[in-house]
Order: sequence, then C-alpha cells, then structure tokens
Amino acid sequence: MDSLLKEINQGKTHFVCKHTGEELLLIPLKDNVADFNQYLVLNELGAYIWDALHPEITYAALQNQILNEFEVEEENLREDLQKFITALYQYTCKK
Amino acid sequence: MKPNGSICVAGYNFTLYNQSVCGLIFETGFEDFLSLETPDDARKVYIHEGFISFEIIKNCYQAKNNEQLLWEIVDTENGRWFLVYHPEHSHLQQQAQYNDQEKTWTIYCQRQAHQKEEVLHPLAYPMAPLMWYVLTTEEQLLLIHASGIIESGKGRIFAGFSGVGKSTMANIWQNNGAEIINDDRLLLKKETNGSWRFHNTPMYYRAVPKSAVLNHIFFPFHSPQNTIEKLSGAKAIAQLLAFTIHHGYDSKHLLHHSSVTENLLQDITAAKLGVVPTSEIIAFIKTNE
Repeated sequence: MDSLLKEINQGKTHFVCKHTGEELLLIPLKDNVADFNQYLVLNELGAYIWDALHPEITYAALQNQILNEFEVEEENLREDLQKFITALYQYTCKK
Repeated sequence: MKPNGSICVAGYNFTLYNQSVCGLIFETGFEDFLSLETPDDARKVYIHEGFISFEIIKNCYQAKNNEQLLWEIVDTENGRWFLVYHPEHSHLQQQAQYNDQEKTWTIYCQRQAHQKEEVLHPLAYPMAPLMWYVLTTEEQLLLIHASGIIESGKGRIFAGFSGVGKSTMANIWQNNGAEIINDDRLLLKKETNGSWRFHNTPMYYRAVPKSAVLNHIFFPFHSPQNTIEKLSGAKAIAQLLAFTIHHGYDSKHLLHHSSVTENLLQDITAAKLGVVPTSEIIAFIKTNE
C-alpha cells in the first residue's frame, strides 16, 4: 500500500483539483489538455485523503490520521481504505 | 498616439492602434461590434505590418483542428508569443503577444490585397477568438460552446459540442417566439450588479451585438423521450467546464475557469436534457426546469 500511495502522490501533478463544498473535483490533464470525460468527484473523506497525500506518508500514518479526524470504526476503515487506495491508484496511475 | 477605433465584445473594449500605413479590414461579423469610440478602460491592440524574427526557445502548446495547426504558443528570447496560422492554408497569419500587466496586445500581420487596396487583417480567424479566450482567463467570464435564447425575459442556454442539437433547440424556441442570441458560441459574464448574462461574439456572418440574462443552463443530448436530470456540486461544475473553452497551456486558467463556473452555478441552475426535437420540449422544459 505504501508504494501505491507514493505513486498516487507522484501522479497528482497530472490533475487539476477543485474543492467545492465538501467535494473535490479531479480533472486529469493529458498532454496539457484537460480531459473532462475522465473527471472524478471525491466526497469529503476522499478529498481529505487526496489532500493528505505527500511524499513521505505511509499507509499506517494515513489510517491513523483518518481515525483521529473522522468518526469511523478501525476495522471498517481498514477494508474501505484499501479498496479506495487501490481504486485511486487505478484512476491516477493506470489510465 | 491616437487610436483608430475600438471593438466591444460582451462589454469589454479593445481600442485599435494601427501602426502601419495600410488600412484595416475585419470579418463581416465584426461590423456591428466596431466603433469609433475609444473608451479609457479599454485593452489596447497595437497592429503592425509584417513579421518579426525571433529565435524560438521552447514550443509550449499547439492548438489543432484535426491535424491542422491553428495556433501555437512559443517562448522566445523576447517573451511568449502566439503564432496564429491560416485555418485552411496553414501559412503564418499573425504573430501576437499579450502583456497581461498592461492588458495590451501587439499583433504583427502581413499586408494583403483587398479591393485594389493593400490592407491588414489583424483579427482574422482564429486570432479574435484567441483574444476572447485570453479575456476569459482574467475576468469573471466563460467562453462556451452553446446556443442561447431569450423568451419572456428568461434566458436559457444549451451547451454541447457539434451534433448535440444546439442549433436545433435554438430554432425550435425561435419558431415559438424566442429570440436567438447565438446558436454556437457565447460568452457568459458576471455583470457588475452580480447578475449573469450571455453575450454573442463576432462570427463569420453579420450579427448585431446581443445579450440576455442567464437563468438556466441545459446540456442537451438526443433521447427517445424528453428527460431532465438536475445537476449540482462538482458534477455540475465538471459538466459545464467540459463545454467551456480551455487551452491547455496553463493549468491556472482551468483553475480560474473552475472558480468562475462554481460561482456561476451558485446562482444558475444546470441540468442534463434528453431531447426529442419537437416543440413539445419547450413545455417540458418550462414545467421541469
């Protein structure tokens, strides 16, 4: 998971990010051109995770950060976070 | 130096300073946007004859229509330049530089024969839409692929790319008493009183400057029955941004446009619209918008 986080973080520069309300709109840039067919809307927690990513962050640290910030059960979070990070990796790095 | 006149688009003025001995010509669509007035608050456009030479350090961006190069941005030892090409013959048509501090355009173009005269054609397509685009990167303004109509004091626009039925929708409304502002390209502008209006821009055909208050935005698509899906939040922003015009050379422009879009959607409703192209769509919209 740590290596996925690192790759997602590296891929962040290929997106224009727009916070609106609690949502975050991600618009991918391909060859410098915005691709509106592939935009993604993240909810409040997804947006928090996106913003929390930085080069040194580890999966364990991210999980702890979320547990401190949101009222979620650790077991549920572990499962959902893995799914989310995997999906986000597919979206940001594998397109 | 005395200006030679001005162009007014969506309430923004551009004064023209002809630095050559040649006269200027403009496309037919500019006729009613041109004026001899020279407002103080205008952006300035300095027009020179001929081309200058410079060394290109870096190619930053190329705008193409299929494989045809329309214009490109290059960095030179003399700053950043737009090189604008003839849309059919591909030859260099204008060299242009924009100074965003002084809000000044400098345009170089070659003289050409026109009715036994030698003239300059400084804003020949695609130069002018490029200038409107740069304007949108500085103002509360969006350039959008959309048709727009006004009916009983209510303005509606139908945004989408070619083939979704923008013109068809405009014509249906016109046949039922509405006035078309334009059926292809509009500028959406936040006015000084906080309201939003949509404006036409000079096209290749003659049309007087028109504008209308903006009340509703629709994204039409062909459908076996009339349907409506109201949009909000980030999804609405993405949908509207998809049909506004962006040039990818600076992601700051996209951020600016997304902020303008967010601002607009706080006041104006947006919806996806499945359309059967008959006059029944009018009653459907009025009932459901």
